[in-house]
Order: sequence, then structure tokens, then C-alpha cells
Amino acid sequence: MTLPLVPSDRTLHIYLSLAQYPVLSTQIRSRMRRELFARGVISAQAFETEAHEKAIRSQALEGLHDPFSEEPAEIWDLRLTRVRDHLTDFYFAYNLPFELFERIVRETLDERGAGVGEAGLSFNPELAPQNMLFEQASLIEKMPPAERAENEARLQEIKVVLIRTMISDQLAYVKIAKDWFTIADLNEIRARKIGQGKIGGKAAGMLLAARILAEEGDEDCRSNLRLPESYFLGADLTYIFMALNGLMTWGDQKYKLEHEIRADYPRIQEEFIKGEFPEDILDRFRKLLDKVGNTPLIVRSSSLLEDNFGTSFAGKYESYFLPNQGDSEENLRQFTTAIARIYASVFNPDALLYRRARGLQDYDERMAVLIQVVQGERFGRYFLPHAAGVAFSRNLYRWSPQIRREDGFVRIVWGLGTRAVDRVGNDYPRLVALSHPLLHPESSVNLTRRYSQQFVDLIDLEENVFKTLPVEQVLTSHYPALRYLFQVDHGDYLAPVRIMLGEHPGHDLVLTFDELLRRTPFPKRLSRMLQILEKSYGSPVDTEFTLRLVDPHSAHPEVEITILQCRPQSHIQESQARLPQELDPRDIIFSTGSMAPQGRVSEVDYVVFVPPEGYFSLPTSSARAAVGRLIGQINALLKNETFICVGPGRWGTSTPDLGVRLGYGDIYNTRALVELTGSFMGQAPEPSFGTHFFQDLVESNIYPLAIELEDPDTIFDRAFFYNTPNHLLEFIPDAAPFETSLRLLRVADFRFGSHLELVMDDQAGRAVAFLAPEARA
Amino acid sequence: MTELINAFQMAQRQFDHVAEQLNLDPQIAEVLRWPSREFKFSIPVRMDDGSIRLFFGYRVQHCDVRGPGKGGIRFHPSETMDTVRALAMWMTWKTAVADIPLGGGKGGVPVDPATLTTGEKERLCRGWIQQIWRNIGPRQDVPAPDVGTTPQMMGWMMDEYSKLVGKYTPGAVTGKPVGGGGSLGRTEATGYGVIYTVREAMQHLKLDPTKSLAAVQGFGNVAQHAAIGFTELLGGKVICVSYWDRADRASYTVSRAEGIDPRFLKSITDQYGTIDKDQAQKAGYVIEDADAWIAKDVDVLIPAALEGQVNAETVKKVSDRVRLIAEGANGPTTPEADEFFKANNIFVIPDFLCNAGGVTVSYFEGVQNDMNYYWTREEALQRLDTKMTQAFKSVLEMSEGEKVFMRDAAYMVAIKRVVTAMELRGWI
Repeated sequence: MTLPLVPSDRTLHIYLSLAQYPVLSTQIRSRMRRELFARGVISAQAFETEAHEKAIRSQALEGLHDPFSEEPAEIWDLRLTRVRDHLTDFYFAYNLPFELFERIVRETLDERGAGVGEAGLSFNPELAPQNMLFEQASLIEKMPPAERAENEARLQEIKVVLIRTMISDQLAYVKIAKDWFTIADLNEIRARKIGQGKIGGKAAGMLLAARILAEEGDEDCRSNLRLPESYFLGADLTYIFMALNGLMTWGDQKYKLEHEIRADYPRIQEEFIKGEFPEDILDRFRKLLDKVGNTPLIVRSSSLLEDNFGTSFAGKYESYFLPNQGDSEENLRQFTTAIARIYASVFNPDALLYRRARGLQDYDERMAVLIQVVQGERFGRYFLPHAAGVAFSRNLYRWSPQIRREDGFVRIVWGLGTRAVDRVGNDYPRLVALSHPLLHPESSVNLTRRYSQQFVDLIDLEENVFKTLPVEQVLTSHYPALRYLFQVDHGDYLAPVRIMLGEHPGHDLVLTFDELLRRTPFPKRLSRMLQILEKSYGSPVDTEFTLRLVDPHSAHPEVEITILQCRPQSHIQESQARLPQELDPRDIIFSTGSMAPQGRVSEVDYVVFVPPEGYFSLPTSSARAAVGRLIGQINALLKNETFICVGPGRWGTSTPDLGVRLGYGDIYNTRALVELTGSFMGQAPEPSFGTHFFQDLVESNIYPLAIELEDPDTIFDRAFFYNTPNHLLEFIPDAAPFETSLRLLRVADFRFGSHLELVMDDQAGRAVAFLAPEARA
Repeated sequence: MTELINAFQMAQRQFDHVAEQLNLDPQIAEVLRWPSREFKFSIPVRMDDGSIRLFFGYRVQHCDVRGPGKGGIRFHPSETMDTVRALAMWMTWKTAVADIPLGGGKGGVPVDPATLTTGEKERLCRGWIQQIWRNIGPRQDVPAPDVGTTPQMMGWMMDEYSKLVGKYTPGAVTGKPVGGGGSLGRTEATGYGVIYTVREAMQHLKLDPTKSLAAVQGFGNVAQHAAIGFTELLGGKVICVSYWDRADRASYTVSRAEGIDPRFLKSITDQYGTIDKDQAQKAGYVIEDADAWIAKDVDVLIPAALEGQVNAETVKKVSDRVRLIAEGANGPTTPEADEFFKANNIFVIPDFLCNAGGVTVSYFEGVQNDMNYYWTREEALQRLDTKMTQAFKSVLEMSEGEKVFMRDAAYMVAIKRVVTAMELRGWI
């Protein structure tokens, strides 16, 4: 065995800690060795042999070749002692728990009469053993107020060190967290942590949110808030695992070329899965699994970069559901495999390239792991929560003017929240504007049905696997929360499930969640929680949650909300969606104040424009419908370009008199759909924002926008829209009859070397498209 | 009526049980567990001796979502608000299962009418109307005769109501005498209604009525017409009836193995339902003890007397041949006996379906009052047959579809219809 070449905080930490005790360190190390020998980590003999070999090899490194004649005995002894010390630190760090090290330090100090209380005044919290920090801090917390006030700064310092070493060192996080966590909270986290290092972003966010809500929430919020039973694997375990299994060779992966990164990943995964954990860690895993019993678990990545302020690795790192229904060996095997997979996901090409793009490449990314008991109920052979989803404190998707942005927005699904978190192509979560929970984005029963959830994610306890199943396969009339989640489709209206006969409810049920939203305190409660979090975070937040209806058969069931995760609402970067301070009016192509969403579309090269006059002067409905079909062709031809569509009235209406008739399939490559309203529409209808496929727009991040042409605050550069050359015929040569009703504009034709930037600034309440010079390489 | 078991709580419990079978929304269940309106009022009546006696009157309107309330007025000494509530709720289910566009109500006065002279009764009836007339009426709540009240009293009540509103309003009260706004066919309505459901049930059970025997308990209005109906409409044989002998203060079973002639027996029955034993014996009838009817070797038992007659004790005597129980009376079967029937696969037509003929013709009476045109007896009975047959079929369908006992099925059909109406009217 050679000294590790890998950076190891564990060894380093022991080394630095001992550096504080220049004299006592000898005694401490000797005790450490005693522990190593007594616990059978290595025999005294083998240890001595290795120390000798290493000492001799170190002579060679230092230019000596004859171990005995060239070095005086006392120097040789010093050499041997130092090598022994290093070896001691190394073996201890990799085989025995850090807590034991802390205990030895404390005991040695105590024997010296250097009690913690005394030492506390002079020790350096950055290097002190954690136990000592906790003891010191709780000592301060227990002091009488006056005395405590004197030590408040010290307490704060300790807290910060603990937060930084145990949870996250992201400054933005520490800044908020230090105001909320108590020493007791931190102690609780320590008790649930395995291995050294931080517990990472996801775990950090969840704990902080729970703490804030427990502190700031009213009685209603507190008594209905739940935190899932959670355990944490410290981030340093990644390196121990890699070192132990010879995986450090992959450490430089992030600097390789993209095709190499991609090519290597399958092999990395394979090797990680084969890797083994040190015995002391395995032991703790076993204890953890014993403790939680046969309850499904979710093992989630909680990397140091993940979920922190300003970055989101949504979907880049992995999470695994463990049904946990096998025997204890099988459960442990699945558990360790999941962790190994998560470790491997640090080298996931998507994650590495994302980091490269964001300038996060050089960060020493490590992967902590968050282990949570899955929230849910058993239903027959399945296990799933009554509902789960993602909640945002700011509603960026307003489909109706009365929706209040600040009340929040939810994507909610039946079953595990994976369907709401991930955007799955073939299925839809229910979108809820928390200010108007019953206001659907869709305008008709047909659409509500069409944009309703059809599949449910759950754990099949019998088969011990995570599954996605069609809703009707899982649902029976006996499902306790049925009437809160589903409604009956009566053809022209949806009604609550008043009576449910038979074993299988049939196909006329639709997942609308309306009764949950109408009849329970859920929407108000969640909205309040989000507001509290936003206020305390000082920024909009997004959260993952599950909910449980308590006693769903009662007339007025309670709703418990479990917060699984909380982070600043980051998928739209603040800076990106802010209007530039000074915009030259000559650069503005259009500017509108009606219900701007928040976001940005950069580097728009093409604009598909349907001139209202041209469109409405088309003689027949079928001619107008043809415009929709042409746009469908353009959509396909421009699939590698960035373009937006601007046209009169409702995009996607079924009535060509109200706007361009087309389907989502005709338009999905566009980045924004802009509705023009004005007197040409007759009595101007309210903007509908692609009502017919609003959900599709949300799922694929296409921004809906409206321009009220007669609004005096509106800017609409007619020269751009009407005078820029029309490229329609170059793309579709036989479209000549439609040259006046469909214009395909190239931005660079209007101003050479320019493209459009479309910025939708929620704060300013404006969306502006302006010309910007080409900056691309 | 014993108060040891609170009748209303029992009615609620029964409802809860069905609500659970229906997986009914608990918030809606809570609405239906309680009457929507209750009235209690005092009625001072000038007695014949010049004194003034104070009576109390009740009216409970349980649910009027399917239409105006419907239900009798009882003059009975042990009447309480809770008995009235229970019966009002029960009327909601009964009108719903019969699928007539009416709701459930009930009223009463705690009094033994036998202690009142005719004039005192009339003043009590008019007094009752004077206190409640604003809250009843053809579009609100329509009373009818019940225990202790008669068609004559209904005539007074209708008259009082018409005077108070200033318009002839026959539809405000039903069960009026024929010629005073009453409907033809009302006398035989309940008994014939029983037989229409018996006919449908026998068809379902593949029993041939002409080869079947029936035993009838009781010989009041319902039993008489059930017996007549079974023999004349279905061509079957009734081999016994039972009756309460006022003179002996005892019940007897009157049997004849080759089949009784109900019209003959009716002709020797007095106004209180007592059969002339001697004449019967002379005509070849055998007089047996009270419970003999239930032990007869027959295909069909029709308990059409009082409640609780088929109980844990008497059910043991039921013959193996029995395939069908038609509950002409209200609540003749106790839960224990019900269990026996379930276990032995004996088909039961539950009371509030089986004897819904009465309320159905009450509804017809209101319909005829409204259009001011009166049907012949045959027309009325023909329509009754249609209604009863439809009602029976919908309950049977529910019973088979949901694999539940007919009694539960009848409640389920009823409650489902009420809930549907609530939904369609936007109450829920």
C-alpha cells in the first residue's frame, strides 16, 4: 500500500487538527495506533514493516541510497517517526470514524487537564474537531443571557463553521442558513450523516426550508408541515469510494473533449457499480436500512454545486427509487448500487458539459447523497403519495390576466412527483395558479381531459420496482383520495365524484385535482409556505413537495405537505430576464406590457409574421387554414434556427376567424408565440395565450406573449414587420398566393449583423424585442 | 312506538351504511343526514266543552331536491320530532326509489284521535293548516293521510288551505276522498303496487304465479288488495290471511288449503279489519293461531300488517318452499330475519319499494289536481303498474350490478337519484 496520491480531506483534516497540538499529537497518534491495532485494521507488525519500507523509499526520494550508513541514527528515527505519523493518519482516516478521532483528542486533552471549556477560548473553530465545536456551542447556548450575549459572535462563528463543513460552503446559502439553524438542528443533521464532508445542495435546501417554515409559519403551517425522514452521506465519501476502488483515474474527465466524455461514460458507470464501500461505512448502511425497515427509499444526488443559488442541475444528476422490499442483503446491494450510480453521475456528460457551459468546470464537485423515506401510502400492491409536484413562489405562466404572479404556481401529479419534476413528453401535470386554483389553463372539457395526467409513477411493492403505469390500471373505486383528485366527465361538464359504484371506476374519470383545490386548505397553505420561503430566501423559490390527505373519508380532510426540496427559483436566471438599463428606441422592434412572462429568448434570427390585414383578407376559411399548414412547414424547415412567431389573434384557435388555426405540431420549434390584438379582430378578444395548447407551450418552454396594438405604451415597428424582405418563397416555392398573408423575415436583412433579443421582464412588466449586434464567434 | 331506540338515529345509521356502499362524498352525506327544514308549532283548539286545549304540531321537510315534499300526517300519542324526522327521511328515499318527482316530508300531532269528537278533529286539522300553510303547498310540500288521519281530514285540510290562500288548491293535500279531489284507484293502490312488484320478482325468479301459493299477514287495506291482486291479477292462490280480532284481543290466521276468496272474506270484515270467524268457518275456512301464516308451505310470503312481525323467532318457522318475501307493511322484517333470508337465498322486495304504490297514486292525485282532469280507475292503475315495474327493475339492476341485497340496492338507487338531482341543480 502506498500513501494515497489523491487529495483526501479526511487525512488532511486529521493532520491539520493534530497540528494544533504540537506536543500532545505524539500521544494522540499513539492512541490512534492502539485503536488501529486493537480493531484489527492492521497488525502492529504489518504496520511497522510498512513504515520501514516507506522510510527507506523516502530516503531514496531524498537522494540517499544506503539506509544505514548515510544517515545518522537520530535522523533515521525522526524519519521513521514522521512516516509512522503519516501512516497512522492515513489508516485512521480511511478505516475508522472521525468521531473516534475526536474522542481520542478530547480524552488526551482531558488527561492534560485542558478541558474543553478552557480550550474553547483559544481553539480555532476551522480546525477543531466537530465534537468540540458542538460542545462549545451548546455551552454558549446554555449560558445566562448576559454572558451569552458576550459570546454571541463566537457562537455565530461556530455555527458558520459547522454549516460550512457539514452542509454547504456556498456563501449565499451560509448567509441565510446561519440565521435559521440552531445548534440542535445541526446536531440532528450530524446524527443522520454518514461519512465526512458536506451533505450537499439538495439536502441543504430541504433542511433550511423546513427550519424557516417551522420558525416563521403560523400554527396552521407548522402543524401540517412534514419533513421526510432523511439521512445524508457526506460528500467526501465519494473520494474514499473512488480511491478504494481505483476510480481516481477518472478525476480528469471534466477536461476531456466532449466526444471522449460521452464515450467514456458507460464504462465509468460500469466500474462504479462494481466498486465496493469500506466495511465501517457498509456497517452504517446496514444499520440505516435496519432502522427504516421495508419502507421504500429514494436515494438522491445532493452535489455541492447542485441546487445552490444560481445554478440548477435539474435532471443532470440521478435519483433512484429503492422499493426496499427484498431481504436485507438484497436491499443493501440495491442501496449501494444506487449510491455508486449517483457517484458515477458526476461524470455524466450532460452534467460535465453543463458545468463547462456555466463556468463551473474547475470547481471540485463532490457528490453527497440524500436518502429519504419515500412519502406515500400503500394502495394494494402499490406505493405512492396522494399527490406530489413542484411549486414555485412566482407564477411565470399566467394564462389569464387576473392570475397573481406572487401567489405562486404548481405542477401537481398523482403519485410520485417524478412526472411533475421531469417534463415527460406524452403526459401532463395539472398546472395550478395558486391565486386562482380552479382556473384551468384550458378552456373546454375536451382540452382539460386531453391535458390531464394519463400515467402514474409509483413503486410496485410486489415486484420491488419503480414503475410508470396507466392511471386506470392502478385506480380502483376504493382509492381513498379518489374524489379529491378525479372528476367525472359528463361530456359537456366535469363534476365531482359524488358516488362511486363498482370495483373499477371506468374511463370517464379525469385527473383535475379540482376537489383538492376547492375543498381543502391545500392551495392557500402551500401559497403561504412559498411566500414565507421567498421572503426568507430573499428570492423566489421552487420546491418539490408531496401531500397527504389525512383521513380522506372524513367530510373535511386535512392536508399535510412535505417539503422535499427547496431552492431559489433558478431556471430563469435573474440577470437574463432583466431589461437592459438603456435601450436605444431605434433598436426596439416591439415592446408590450400585457402580461409579460419572465424569461429570455436570445439570438433570434427569424421572425414568422402573419400580417393581420393580409390574413383576414384571405377569401375563405380554407385559405386561412392553409396559412397554418405553411407555418407547419416553416416550423420543420427552421428546426435548427431560433425563431419566433407573430400573428393576429389566437394562435392555435380552431376558428380561423379568431387567429391562425394550427396545432402544437405545427409550431413546436418556435421560441415564442406572439398574439397581436386590436380592432382588426372586431371586438378584441382577451389574449388567450395559445389556450388550445398552453400546456404544450409550458412543457416545451415556448413563451406566449400578447401585443395590444392600440395600447399607447405598445411599440410595434411596422417597418420591420412590413418592409423587410419576405423569404417565404425561398423556403416554400409554391407559396406565392400567400406572400401577403405570411411573411418570413430574416432579422439581419433589417439591420446587417444583428439579431433579436427578446427579454420578458416580469419585474418591469414588459416584454421587449430589440436588435442586438451579432456576438457569436 | 318505543323510544328506547331513537328512530331518527336508526334512520341515520341506515343511511350511513348505504352511503358507505355508495362511496358517497362525505360532505354530501352530511347534508342528507339531516332534514332541510323542521317546524314545530302549537295549535290551540276549542274543545266541545268550551275549554281550550293546546296541541303541538310538527312538520319536517327532509329533502325537496327532486320536487315538493311528500308525506303523511300522523295523529298518534307517541309521535315525537325524531319519529317524524326519521319518517321524513324515509319518504325522501321512497319517492326517489319510485322515481316520482317529489321529496320527503312528514308531519304529526301527538294525540290519540279516538279521544276527540269529530268537531274537535276538524278544528285540530284546520288549526294544523293555519299554522303551517305558508310553508306547504303543491309546489312546496304536500301532506297526506297516515296513521290516525283519514281522507275526510284531508278534505278539511285542503279546504282550510284553499281558504287561506284564497284559491281552490286541491293539490295542497292528497289522499282526499274521491269526488273531493281524490284519485280513483287510491284504495287499492298500495296492495296492487305490492302485487305488481311480486309479479316482476316472480318473473325474475322464474316462478309461475298460477302454480304458486302465497300467505298474507294482515287483512287491512293493503293485505286485502294484495290478496285480491295475487288471485285476480296473477292467477295465483292465497291460502291464508291473518287479522286482529277486536273482540278477542288476539290475532288469528284464516286459512283454506284450496285458496281463500279475498272478496268473500272482505265482505265479512268489519270497518276495523276484524273478520267474522263464525261466517268464515261456516264457509269452510280454518281458524289458526296468529303465527300460523308464516309457517305455511308457500312460495310467497306477504307480511302486510305491522312492523317487526318477521323476526329472529318467527323466521325459524319459514318453510323451505318460500322463495319470495314481499314487504307490504313498513319494516316487517328485523335485521336478524334479513340475515336469514340472505343466507337462504330468499328474495326480498323491500318495504319502501314494495309498498310505494300508495305514494305513487298520491302523486297521481296531485297531477290530476294540477291539470284539473281526472283519470279512470283503470288509467290510474295502469300508470301505477308502469311506475312500480320501472322502480322494481331499476332496483333489481342495481342489486345485480353491485351484487348487493335488494334492500340495500333500493336505498342505493334512491340516494343516487337524490344526489344526482342535487348535482344537476347545483346544490353541490
